[in-house]
Amino acid sequence: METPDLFRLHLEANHPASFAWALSCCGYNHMEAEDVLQTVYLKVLEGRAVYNGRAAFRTWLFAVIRNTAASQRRWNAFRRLRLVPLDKGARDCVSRSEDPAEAADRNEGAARLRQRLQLLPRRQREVLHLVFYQDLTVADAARVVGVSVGSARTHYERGKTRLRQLMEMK
Amino acid sequence: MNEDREREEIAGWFRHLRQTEERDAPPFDEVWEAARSRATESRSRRLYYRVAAAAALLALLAVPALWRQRRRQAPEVTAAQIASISQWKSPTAFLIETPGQELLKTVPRIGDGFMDMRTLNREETSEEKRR
Repeated sequence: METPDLFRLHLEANHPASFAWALSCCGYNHMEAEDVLQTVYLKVLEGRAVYNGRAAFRTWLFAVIRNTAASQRRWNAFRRLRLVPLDKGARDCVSRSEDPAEAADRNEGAARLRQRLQLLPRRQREVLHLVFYQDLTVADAARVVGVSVGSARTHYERGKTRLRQLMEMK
Repeated sequence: MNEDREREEIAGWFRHLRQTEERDAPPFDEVWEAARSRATESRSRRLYYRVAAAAALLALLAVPALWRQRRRQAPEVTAAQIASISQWKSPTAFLIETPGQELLKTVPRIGDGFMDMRTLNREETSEEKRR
């Protein structure tokens, strides 16, 4: 993290995971997630988000993404109140390079999981994503979400149980 | 269900989701460059706001000062000017005077002939009385 180039390399290496996390934080809205990620990079470029080495880089980056997404959510709610038209909704999660029919088959399972995850309380969804998707420990997930480890563990256990129930439902 | 098996099953679902979503991620360079251009934009916008704020502050300070200065420079009205204003008469006042209006301002005296009737103002009348 010493030079800006090295920092950029770290961001680039974590880009797909960062995008997936932003997507989860934005309720799987592709456009919003891209916007959040862009804002996070903007914060880094302007020095508004500075990595101080107190936590792992990924933990820090995910916390910044989460906070940025929360601000975006509040701003979008405000815009909705003022009846300002929002950007186009969630883009289809179809890869840019593959055949749409194949992608539809492959995406079916993913779409189902996304749908079920949306039914979980936010904290539970966040902890499950960080642990199962991003392979973070529960302690790191707690740091990202900003709760105690005990609380994160409770969210993790309850989330697992609830998700299994939801996935068994037709 | 065994906890490890349950964990493995959930991890499998998420692995599947990861395979789908990581392909959908926009290219890093695209997002990075967009952020960079936004940074340049916001820098120039910040500069514009700073200049506008400085101009507004300058105006805020300058307007009362100029006003005070103008008040100080306003010409003083002299006593002579005030007197000349109080003695002013309209140059067109004669237009509203009608011929024979003196007759209407005097009281006719008994015994005076029509031809002797003079137009007297009040001072003249009182002087005659005194005599």
